[in-house]
Amino acid sequence: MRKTFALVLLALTLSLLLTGCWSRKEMNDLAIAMGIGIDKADDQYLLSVQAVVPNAVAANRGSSGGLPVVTYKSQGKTIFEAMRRMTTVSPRKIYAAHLRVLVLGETLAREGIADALDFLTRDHELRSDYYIVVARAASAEAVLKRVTALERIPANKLYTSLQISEKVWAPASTVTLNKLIQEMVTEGKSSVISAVEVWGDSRAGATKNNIENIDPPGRINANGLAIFRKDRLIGWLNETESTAYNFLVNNVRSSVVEFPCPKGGSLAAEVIRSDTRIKGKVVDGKPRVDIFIRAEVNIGEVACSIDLMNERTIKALENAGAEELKSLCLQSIRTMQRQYRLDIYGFGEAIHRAAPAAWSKLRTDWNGHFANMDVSIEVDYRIRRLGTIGNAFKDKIKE
Amino acid sequence: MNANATLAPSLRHNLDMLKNALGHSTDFIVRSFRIGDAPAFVSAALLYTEGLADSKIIDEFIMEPLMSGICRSADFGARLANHRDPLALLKDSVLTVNGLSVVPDAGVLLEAILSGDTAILIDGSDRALIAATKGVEHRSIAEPASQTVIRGPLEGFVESIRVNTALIRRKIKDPRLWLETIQIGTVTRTDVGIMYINGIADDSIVREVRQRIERIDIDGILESGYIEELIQDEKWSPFPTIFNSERPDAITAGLLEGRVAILVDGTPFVLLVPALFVQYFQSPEDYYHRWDVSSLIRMIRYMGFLIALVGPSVYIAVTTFHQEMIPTNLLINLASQREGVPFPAFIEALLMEVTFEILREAGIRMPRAVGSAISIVGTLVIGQAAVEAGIVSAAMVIVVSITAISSFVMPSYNMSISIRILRFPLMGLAASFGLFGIFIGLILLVLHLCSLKSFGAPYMTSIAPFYASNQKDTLFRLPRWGIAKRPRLLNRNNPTRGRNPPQT
Repeated sequence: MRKTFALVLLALTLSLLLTGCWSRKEMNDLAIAMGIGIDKADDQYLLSVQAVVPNAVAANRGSSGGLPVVTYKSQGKTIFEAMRRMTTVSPRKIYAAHLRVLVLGETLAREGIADALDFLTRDHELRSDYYIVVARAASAEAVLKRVTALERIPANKLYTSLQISEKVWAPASTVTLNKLIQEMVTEGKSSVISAVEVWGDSRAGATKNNIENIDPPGRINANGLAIFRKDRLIGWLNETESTAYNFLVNNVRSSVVEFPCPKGGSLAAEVIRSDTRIKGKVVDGKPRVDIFIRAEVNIGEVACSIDLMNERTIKALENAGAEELKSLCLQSIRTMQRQYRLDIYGFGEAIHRAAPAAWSKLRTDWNGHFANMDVSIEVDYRIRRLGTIGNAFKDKIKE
Repeated sequence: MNANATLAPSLRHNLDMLKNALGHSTDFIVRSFRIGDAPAFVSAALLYTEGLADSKIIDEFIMEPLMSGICRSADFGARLANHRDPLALLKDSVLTVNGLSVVPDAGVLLEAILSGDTAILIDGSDRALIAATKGVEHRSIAEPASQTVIRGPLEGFVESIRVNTALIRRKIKDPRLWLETIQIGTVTRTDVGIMYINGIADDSIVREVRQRIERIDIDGILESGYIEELIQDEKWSPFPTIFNSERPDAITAGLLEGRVAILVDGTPFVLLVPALFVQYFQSPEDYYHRWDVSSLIRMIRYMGFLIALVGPSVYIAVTTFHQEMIPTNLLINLASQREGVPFPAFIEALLMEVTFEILREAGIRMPRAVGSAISIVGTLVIGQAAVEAGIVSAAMVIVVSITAISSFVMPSYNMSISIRILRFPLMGLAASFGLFGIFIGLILLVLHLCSLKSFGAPYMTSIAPFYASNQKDTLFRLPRWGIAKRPRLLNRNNPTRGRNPPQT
């Protein structure tokens, strides 16, 4: 017993000498990277990292005057190399476990992103819960060089605005690494990544001036979606196309939709529940999909004269709204069929599930089949509530 | 004087011998007097130790009968002088004190005197009368300082074993509550009592306790801690395997569960064996409050145990190895607090823990009068100043404080000391290997705990070995009508406590 005790004591004492040998790293030896941007110039990757300056962000220290983040740049033939080269400019080791957004520059995206993503999937340090965005008409570096107010860390600002807008705004969509890679390797669905735009004065946007101004001169905002063929960017979806995309892939949790009023004008409704089912089938060797969208809405704003207290008006509204959404979706699908010949909606997957045997013939030229396939959409709108008032008070205004 | 010296018929000789044996100690009182009156009288002497004997009893029930009434007459003097057994005469018809015995042996006589009894020697008799006059001053029964309760009896044991046994017997008026007394300590001859309820306590445990206590060979016993150290099962464990309490209700409850109490004269701390790990998380109060409240509070205690044990080490591990586990905003906050802190988190934690231990120890040892001064300085050192000076981070102060507070949640002080000690190796492991190290440490700890035994009972009884019936009063305390059985230790003696169906 005495021997065991002595051995344990010895082991414990010796283990103290090991401190600092293994993967130990103190918090103040880390540069916590919140955003990573990847661009490509010639055959070199340009890596920019937005790292937090803890003292300027922390809750109770007051602002010490500095900016909350700093962006470091480096380059290399591989991302890994560029990452390590960054230690020559950064005083601390880049710690990427808390990454919030990965920004891909447009030029890189057009050349293909698969190679760039390998390091990020392979490295053990990174979690896979960050969002991937594509910088539209800008370099990734430019996106990471904007100071933002309210949410002091710009990468965090991007992250939270993507997160919130995905929840309440139909055109917005988020993509994480796992989801992206899964979509890229799946047959019958091409990938889509959220796009980010930079506005305004890029020089002023990178300084403190940007947060001292009530109307910041430089901004970043999420806008639309980028569509990829294999791993290459080939185009952008505008807001309505993005809305249609999200309805079709059943990614709408809540949003605002417009209804045309019978006597002109329009009213807006809040989608509170939405569910989309895609049924694929193959008829005479030709694929086709039937789409059922079922949405429940609450009237949110009335900007026309209409008698909402009448049940038939509601019924008519529901039908008109359904037509509107249907044509919106059909138009978007048509654009994809004609202009891009690219199935971003996952119709191929639906066909694959429904008719595996036929799929083996269709898969070789799926996008060709997609361009010519028939799509039928059925929308079932239900108006549930009218809000806190009945008819608009505008009609009751007396002279 | 050798130990087996016998008394001689000569009073003068006996007195000289006894005085020499005690080295003419000044608290050894010899009161010489005469029984009877001239011309017929007998010389006698009263011997006692001042302070140990109750002088009131001596005055009223020994001196008074011997020096007044018939004893003042020459007739009685003559009768006593000629009596075949003068001591028996005194005992049977004169002395009013109760508890009288006749001893022939000087050694026994001395021991009796030194325990507070009074000896009566008369000339011409080679024996002595011993009167029970023990009347040691003892502290009055007060609220125990170490194990306080909100609800429950507020009496605590005192330093006198006689008072302590009485406190227990007052709660258990059953003839089966047995007490054996052994004197331990070749010099101190301390009374050590073994108390148990015959028929509930397992005979083998009682026998084991008796044997282990009888094996003790030591010059003195000053506190029950001596006994604890000499009879405990595992000598190299940081965990206590003998429970102690200064609360009569806690000891009584233990006796009712079939445990054996060991009382030591001179200390209010009574030992209880066998002790189980879970026992250290149970307070007598658990049984006085409602069962739901008690169950919740017990969970808090187990939580406090975990925090006190691994609090600083988890903080070290997470902040130096596993930063990815911290929510981003918290990480940024912690990182900013650590800006400029010169030491690694481990050293930082060690500094604060050691500072706190010093403060705690000083708090116990220092004179009461300087207490407030020290605590002000202490709070400043451990709190604000250290942070403002940039030596430690504010988060570390929080961790150390919550750890310190948690370690006091345990009702038993000796378990919280063990945890205090174990915290440091765990911190070392955390600093070297991160969470991996902590878990290695915890696994070793569990292995060790499962290997412990206390007087034949596995230390983790109820959990490992798992007894389903004991679960009613282990992590939770079920309502009393749900606990019909005594906890299972080693014995299956008389397992039923009583049956109380809930009142409808």
